[in-house]
Amino acid sequence: MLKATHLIANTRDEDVNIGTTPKHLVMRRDKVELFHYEPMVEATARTPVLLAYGLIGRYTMADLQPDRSLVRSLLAKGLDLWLIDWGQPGRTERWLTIDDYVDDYIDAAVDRISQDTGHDKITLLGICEGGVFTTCYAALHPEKVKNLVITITPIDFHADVKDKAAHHGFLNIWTRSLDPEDIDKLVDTYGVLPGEFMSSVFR
Amino acid sequence: MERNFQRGTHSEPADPIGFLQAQKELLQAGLQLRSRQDDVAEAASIMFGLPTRKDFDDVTRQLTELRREVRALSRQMRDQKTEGAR
Repeated sequence: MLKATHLIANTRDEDVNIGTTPKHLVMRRDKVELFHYEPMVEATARTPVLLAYGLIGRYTMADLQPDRSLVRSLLAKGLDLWLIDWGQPGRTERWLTIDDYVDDYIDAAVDRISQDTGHDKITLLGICEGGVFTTCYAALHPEKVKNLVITITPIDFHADVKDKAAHHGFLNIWTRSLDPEDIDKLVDTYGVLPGEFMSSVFR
Repeated sequence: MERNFQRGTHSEPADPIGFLQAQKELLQAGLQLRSRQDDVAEAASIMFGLPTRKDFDDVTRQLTELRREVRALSRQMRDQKTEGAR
């Protein structure tokens, strides 16, 4: 415990190396960027994989330090990996809808990957809310999706109604405890859900 | 209530309904405060002839809608081209 406290106390921002796996920018659309990771080993699968995370958090959650990186693990397996970075939505993005994220940003990224690789269909890997987006996309455009993989993705937003275990669907319970006017007021006032506020709910 | 709120943020709350109600009231109070601050900023901007937040929201809304239209047209043109090539 003492050792851990000492380590944390002496760690500076510059000591934290996350999101360092080599990649290059392929496309920018508004604040959204599409990256292609450099291959690490010989390819074992031909179909490109597009990783999409949620609007809560950053893409670095999938690429932590080198020995704790989902991105590196996938590259080490020989996958052709692409990533959507949503950037940091601000008040300007308050008018965007799920349609924009699914049918514009993801669609444009999929088209660009298809164009660059020559594949008609790609694999989508959705993390958290990114899984909601990719599930919607796969349902709308099955002709462009070969595989859909989702992880820590909420699909049934009323699961806690059937199973009332306290650790099930806290966000669902919290959201439903608010009045619709509270949500409208939140959007009108802040434009987006402030990160600090979201953190307090996740604690 | 404060103690209950603190307990609730770190583990399963002892009183989930009370915790949710407390958090809702905290949110509503925070929004009301921020809303009043915005009113003051809006009035000051108008007084000094500066663009207001409402103006900014109007511009970004129009920009978003314009982008949607342009992109819908681009897709339409691309699809027509693809159909024509078949």
